[in-house]
Amino acid sequence: MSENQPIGNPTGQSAVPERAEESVISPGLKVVGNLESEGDVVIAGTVEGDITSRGLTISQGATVTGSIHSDVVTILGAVQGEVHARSVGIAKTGVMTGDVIYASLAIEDGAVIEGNCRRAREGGEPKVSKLKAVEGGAGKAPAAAPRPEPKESKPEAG
Amino acid sequence: MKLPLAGRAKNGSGMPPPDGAPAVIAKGLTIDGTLTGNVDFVIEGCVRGEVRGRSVSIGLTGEIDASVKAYVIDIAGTVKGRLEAMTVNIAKCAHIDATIFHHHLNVEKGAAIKGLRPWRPAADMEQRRKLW
Repeated sequence: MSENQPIGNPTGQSAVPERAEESVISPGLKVVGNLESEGDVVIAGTVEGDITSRGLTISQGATVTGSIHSDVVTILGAVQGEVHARSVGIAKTGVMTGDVIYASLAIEDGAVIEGNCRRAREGGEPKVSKLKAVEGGAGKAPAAAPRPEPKESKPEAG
Repeated sequence: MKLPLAGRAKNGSGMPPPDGAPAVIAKGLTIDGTLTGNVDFVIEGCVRGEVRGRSVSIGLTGEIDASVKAYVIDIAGTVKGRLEAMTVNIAKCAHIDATIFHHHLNVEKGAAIKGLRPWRPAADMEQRRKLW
């Protein structure tokens, strides 16, 4: 080992500061297991497992088999599994097999989707429970809903 | 993008060309599982499980609790488990609790190492690599 060239970074800082938060699963790499990231992830290889991240890009030629929970997902490759994201973009090269739960969805002409696309309610509140809340009297009643007429009190006999 | 410890990966003789660009496990990413491929790894995040690659560079913030097999392993971070490589380079800031099977071992003064460091002949390391 050369004495003049230390193995570690002499400044004590990472040598990849400009993209320190972006991870890359490169082509030729296969990951079997779950990924959890606080930053952005680019998948160019193969992943068999669930992915949780801030941003996720699945490159053309990449394959993901598993559930995805991210803020922003861009699909140019193949995904088999559920996608939960605020924003989902599927490019013309994308092949999506599974359900997509989104707040914002963009699908390019030529993209392949085999599954259901459902728009998530803001705050994740399902439609059914919101209606129940209205019916329970917490909010305004729907205009079409019949109002119950007040019952007249019967005069007591005698 | 300049890769940490990238120069050290050239120490390995007879390394095949990589199948693709380097894989970057950035700080903040945790992987539980197996990573395999003829690629160069740069690990600044956390990996638990198994890593098999062409070369593996574990940066200052890298944390490994795994079995790592490669032609060359460079370590500046924290490693626990089992290492197997023709050449292992350990930086002074490294913290290691692992068994290190190697043919060449370079350790900078100041590195914290715990565990066995069995030396193996080059032919034996080649034989092991065929079994990966």
